Amino acid sequence: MRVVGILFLSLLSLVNAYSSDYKVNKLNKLVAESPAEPITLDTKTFNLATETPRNYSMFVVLTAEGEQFQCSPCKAFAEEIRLVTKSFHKKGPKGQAFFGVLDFANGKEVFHKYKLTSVPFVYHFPPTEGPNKRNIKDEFEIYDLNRLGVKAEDFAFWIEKHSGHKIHISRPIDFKLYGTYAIMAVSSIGTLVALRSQIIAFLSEKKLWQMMSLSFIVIFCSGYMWNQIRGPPFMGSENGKPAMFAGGFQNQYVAESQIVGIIYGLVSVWFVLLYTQVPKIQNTAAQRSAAFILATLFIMTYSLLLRVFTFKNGGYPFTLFL
Amino acid sequence: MQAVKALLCLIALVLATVVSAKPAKTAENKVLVVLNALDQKAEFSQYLDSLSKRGFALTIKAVNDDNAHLVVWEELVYHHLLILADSATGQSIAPAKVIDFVNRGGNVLIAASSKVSETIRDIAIELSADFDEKGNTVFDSFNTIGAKPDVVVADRIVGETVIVPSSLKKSIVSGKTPLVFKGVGHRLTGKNPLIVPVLVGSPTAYSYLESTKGKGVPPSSALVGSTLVLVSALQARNNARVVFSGSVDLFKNEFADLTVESKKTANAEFVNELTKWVFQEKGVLEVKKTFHHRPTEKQQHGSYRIKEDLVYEIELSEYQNDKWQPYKSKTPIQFSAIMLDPYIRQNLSLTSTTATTSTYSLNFLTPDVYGVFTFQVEHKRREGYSWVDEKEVVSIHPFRHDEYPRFLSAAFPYYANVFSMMAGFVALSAVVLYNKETLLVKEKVKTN
Amino acid sequence: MGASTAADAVWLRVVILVAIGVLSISSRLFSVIRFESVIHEFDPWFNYRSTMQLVEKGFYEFLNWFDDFSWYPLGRVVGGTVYPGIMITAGAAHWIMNKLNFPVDIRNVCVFLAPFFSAFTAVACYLLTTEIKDASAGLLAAAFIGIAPGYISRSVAGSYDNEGIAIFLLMITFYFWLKALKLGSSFYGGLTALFYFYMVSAWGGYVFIINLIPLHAFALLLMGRFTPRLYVAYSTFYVIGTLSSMQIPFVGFQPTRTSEHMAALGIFGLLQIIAFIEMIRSHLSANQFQSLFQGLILSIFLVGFAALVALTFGGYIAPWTGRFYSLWDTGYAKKYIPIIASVSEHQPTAWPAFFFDLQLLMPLFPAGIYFCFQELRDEHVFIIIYAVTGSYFAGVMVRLMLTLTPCVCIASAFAISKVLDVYLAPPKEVLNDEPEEETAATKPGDKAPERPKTILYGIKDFDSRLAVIVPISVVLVLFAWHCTWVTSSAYSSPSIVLASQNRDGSQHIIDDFREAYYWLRQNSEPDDKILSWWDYGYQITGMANRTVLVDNNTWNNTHIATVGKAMSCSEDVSYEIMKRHDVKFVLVIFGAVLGYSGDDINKFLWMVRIGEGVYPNDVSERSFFTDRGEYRVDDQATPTMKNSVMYKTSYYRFAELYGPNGNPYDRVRNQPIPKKAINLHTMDEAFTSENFIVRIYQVKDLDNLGRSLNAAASFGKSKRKKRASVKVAATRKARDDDDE
Repeated sequence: MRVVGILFLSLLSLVNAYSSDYKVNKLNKLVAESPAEPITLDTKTFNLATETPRNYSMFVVLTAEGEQFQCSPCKAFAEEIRLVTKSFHKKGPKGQAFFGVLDFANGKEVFHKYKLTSVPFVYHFPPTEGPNKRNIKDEFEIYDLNRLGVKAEDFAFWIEKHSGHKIHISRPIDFKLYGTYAIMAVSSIGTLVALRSQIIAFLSEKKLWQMMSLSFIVIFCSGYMWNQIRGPPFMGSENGKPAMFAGGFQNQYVAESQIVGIIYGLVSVWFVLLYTQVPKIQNTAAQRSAAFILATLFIMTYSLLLRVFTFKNGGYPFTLFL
Repeated sequence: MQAVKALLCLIALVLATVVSAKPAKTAENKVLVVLNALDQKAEFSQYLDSLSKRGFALTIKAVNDDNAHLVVWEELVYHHLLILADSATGQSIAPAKVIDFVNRGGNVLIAASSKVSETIRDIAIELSADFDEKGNTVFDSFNTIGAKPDVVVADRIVGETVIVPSSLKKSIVSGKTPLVFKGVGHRLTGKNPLIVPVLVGSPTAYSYLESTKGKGVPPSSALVGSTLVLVSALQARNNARVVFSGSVDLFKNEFADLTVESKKTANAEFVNELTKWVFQEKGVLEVKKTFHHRPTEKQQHGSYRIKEDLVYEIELSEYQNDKWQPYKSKTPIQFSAIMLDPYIRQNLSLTSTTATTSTYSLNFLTPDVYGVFTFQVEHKRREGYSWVDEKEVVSIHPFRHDEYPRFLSAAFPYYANVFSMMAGFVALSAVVLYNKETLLVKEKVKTN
Repeated sequence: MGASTAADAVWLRVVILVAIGVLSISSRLFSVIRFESVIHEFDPWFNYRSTMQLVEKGFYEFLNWFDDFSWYPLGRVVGGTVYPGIMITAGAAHWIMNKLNFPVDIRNVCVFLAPFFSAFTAVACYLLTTEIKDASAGLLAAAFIGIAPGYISRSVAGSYDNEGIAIFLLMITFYFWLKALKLGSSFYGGLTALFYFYMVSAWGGYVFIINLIPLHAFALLLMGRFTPRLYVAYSTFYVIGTLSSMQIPFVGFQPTRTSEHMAALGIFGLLQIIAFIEMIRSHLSANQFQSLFQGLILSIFLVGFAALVALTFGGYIAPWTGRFYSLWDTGYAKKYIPIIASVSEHQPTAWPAFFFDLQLLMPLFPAGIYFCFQELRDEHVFIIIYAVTGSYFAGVMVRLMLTLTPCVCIASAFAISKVLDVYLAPPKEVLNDEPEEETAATKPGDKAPERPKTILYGIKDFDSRLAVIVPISVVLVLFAWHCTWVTSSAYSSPSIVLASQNRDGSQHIIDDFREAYYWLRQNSEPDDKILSWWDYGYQITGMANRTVLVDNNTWNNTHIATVGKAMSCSEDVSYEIMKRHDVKFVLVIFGAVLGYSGDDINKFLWMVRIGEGVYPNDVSERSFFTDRGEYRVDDQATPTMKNSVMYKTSYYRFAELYGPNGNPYDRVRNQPIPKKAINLHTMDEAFTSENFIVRIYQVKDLDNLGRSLNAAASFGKSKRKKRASVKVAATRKARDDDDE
């Protein structure tokens, strides 16, 4: 029994004979070929780079950049991972962390092995030996792009937390972009100076500020920030039919908040007209009908608002007309 | 109604006796001795008599006596349990009951032999002492008496402990008074930090199944040498003490009276010392008092300031030779002030002794960090003394609003600034107030 | 009021104001009548405890109070980390009443403080609106703020929190500011500063004032409305206000060192420069220097601004603190300070919440702002700026609805009062300043109607008046009903006592929290430490009088993360943490039996997230989600979830409640719970409240006999297999395993 065990063990170790140093050498060579790029992996190199033992951190981006997948985050992240790789290899400790990219086209077996159905993900295989050795429950940790962000800075923040390598992301200076900015700045300052009297006149216009303030207030009081932060869909659907209003008190759709904003605006408009226009009408009959119409509009629009609110809050006991 | 009253009175009485019955050291003297059979009493007569002489009240029962209750109504009936029965299987000493007994503070001494019962093995394994299977015997062909290879002379006493006094150790090790052992060995599984070996086998000792004698070499898993523990001792966290001895013969008259090469054996003395330790007659430490105060004061507070001089004192007594004596530690006693991590960890020094106590103390500066600190003296050594773990929670608060320095020399420019500003303001106001009118008047005069 | 004399009008106003005050107090008493006079929720318990300290030990002891009952073992320097305004207010009220021989219990003072201050708020609102329009609008605004749910939500009886008095202080400070601005009076400026100081001592929201007033001043400057009145008002306010605010220990040197306060300083500097230039200009006749001076102003302003920026980068001025910064960058908190993001009050506001809290006032709010623009005096500019900034903040955080509410009340009272003025008063003749209309009636033959010099402005018909007045009255009445309904149904629950309805409609009180806290008070040692999630910290120290590790004053993220880790790791890992922190009891809130959704399992992900932020190697949020990314507690829950202390302590013996044949079902998560018994080996169940809401576990000591707790727990439970007597080695191994 024991003999068999020893044999088995030695077989295992034969299969697993690559030491960390061997792999580091090999990976370093790959890095040296193109230091600014993450290593392009396939199934074989992936298995080599991620097998134990490791004395380095291995970050593998699992992605699918092929046209047929139409994966826009994959492409966005490809740029960012390049940036991270470059920043790391420029200043980071040699041979302690490697970045690789495994495209679905090159590594179908790996994708099957991990039962991956969506991309992109970053797997981090921490060192299993050496000074940076870390014990984690699974074989690897996952960087979830959707939750933690696609930006290189976000990823670098995560890397620092999980492997201790501090990466200072240095984005290359984009001269084109800065040039455009400079031209824009100069031209806009020029325009400002040239047209300053008109601009000042425009900015001193009360109506402008009035419109801006009022729309700001209406927009913000109808849940605009909620939409910004929570990012709900424009409209929902219920039983296949499009639904304007989300069920539930704590929830809303974009369309819904816009409708509510419009209702607020309308109620205000009817109310303001009651004050500004009606008293000026000299003709008694005309004034009467204007007052009646505006009052009706006011109360009906408001009832509509109450109705909408009753829909949102099932137990709400008050309604008017509608 | 009357009956209820009487009952209440009775309950009150019982409660009162229970409360007051907390025994002093000398009063904890009830021992339950369990023998294979009552008629074996004679074989242990010397040992048992010595116990009686030391003031212990012995109750002797046979293993199969199921009426020997250790604990009744959550109160200890006996303070000590002495199992001198290798075939112990009875209900009254079932493992759960013995464990419960120890957890309530009872002390236990268990002696087995190669006929060790499963009950004893089960008790022992709970404490990480693993007795060999029934039938295994300790042999030592090089240290034996006469023609009996299973009666071995054991001379490996482990460490400097209070359990075996150094004089006795010396005479056993040097062979002046040999210690004779016959029985089963055990091993320590190493998972329990509280149990220590007292007596282990010599390098030539081994444990072997007697029935297979002469049928080849022992299996490689057999216990050999120093892993073969003959006697081990455990002191639980509540200071209850447990001793396992692989040999019940160790306690018998026969071995006590034995002479080996005209040398009297050390058995009687050894078991006496062992029993003294188990029954809390020696190596017992007690913290009489802990006291922390400012050097200028003589009273203890629950809260001190940061960066304040403090004195910590602890009074310790050791019970030895039937009386309380000042405890003089061979190893340093450490004081720690802990808030998650120790901020202070220093040795206490012996400052004074009285007839019964010794006072260790330390002068220190409270840390420059506020928080709730634990002042702790944790004195746990493997010398067989009771554990000392004194903890007290003390809060250390920052400066009060009026404890900061009132004037800072570094701030004098600012003080000067303030006062010159105030003076300037008054002066300017005066100038403005008293010059204005004349100016106006002059102007008026001019215009006129 | 036309017919009555001025004196009558004053009396009438006073009577109406008093009536409004009584109304606003009494509409906040639902919870006292329904339940009892008890302190609500979480933070009020701390305030109550501090007030007790103040009343019992005196002011200086309170100032130097080092609280060793919270944040064990770090402790908390309460005097330096608290806004003491509310405690001092309650303490003073208590002292005065006792001096007047009204022996009122301090608890009752605390419970009723917020309702009484709401009456003062109504008065302050009245004064402020009177400055905007007139007394009738003021009375309307007072009535609105008295019953608006947006304010009631934080000021019902028992809600003894900073906001309770802070809204009054906010309004009165603004009132005095407008008064000072109008009169150019340094006396009113000083009063503004005085109430600003009171506000600083009471609530962290004072930052709103110290930014809003400079913003107002800046807007006035931009509109070319610099006056000596503005200069006097602002300078007095800023200097006295800032100096006095620095006397609060918690604020300290912040007014000179943090970005939140820099706008006020900048405006102060700018005003000095402008005033200086104005003075020079008034002494010089020539105009040629004007452009020079303008350049001077601009360059000094730019230099000052650059200096501020440089100081900020140099570290002399602290950048915006996280709490305030998260108001601008809404994604910031979620990523970097999950503790702030985890609080439900800090979530953004969906529109129903706006409508729920303000109802009628909400659609009339823009109308009010429109009217402000029509008049656009200095005070209207103020209201507009308040409205714009207030709506932004209210949109970002539910909790800041509170600061918007007074502004909405004022603006809509302004609007309604304007319309009512027109429709109630008789028409009056005004000069016809309308441009001449091209009327078709001017036929050459007819006598052209002479364009009247004056026209009749107003409503001529009774029925058209009625047509408008009646709907407005209807919606106003509806608003009053709405407010009462909201107050009664949503904002009057003390949250430490829950109520449900029996089948017959009678009320059933669920008092699990107090039951459990009282159990702790009676059955634990005074120096026992309790581990619970921080939400319950204040309540435990307040009601159970026991030491807690973390509480609602979330000042130490690491410590909270440690508790999060203890809750989300396996028993053995968290046992070490608990021993290190001397924890004796673990308290969890569990709602699955009753369907109480605010329980710890629902908050659990935040604990994990916060724990992961500090201990990424030990806690991983991902491992609490199934492969499909679901958060489950049934038999598909992940092993990490099932092994976590939180899961185990929550569902321990939960299945037994349903009997041997029942199907245990979680009524909050709506998932069936596996029937397999959960084993706890480091804790014993010590107490479970009547409805299972509060569960308390006692942490075991280290095993007396030196065994591992797991081994000790399984002792006597598992029957050891009969050993075959020969296989010595195998048995040894078995024994070792058993010993594990």
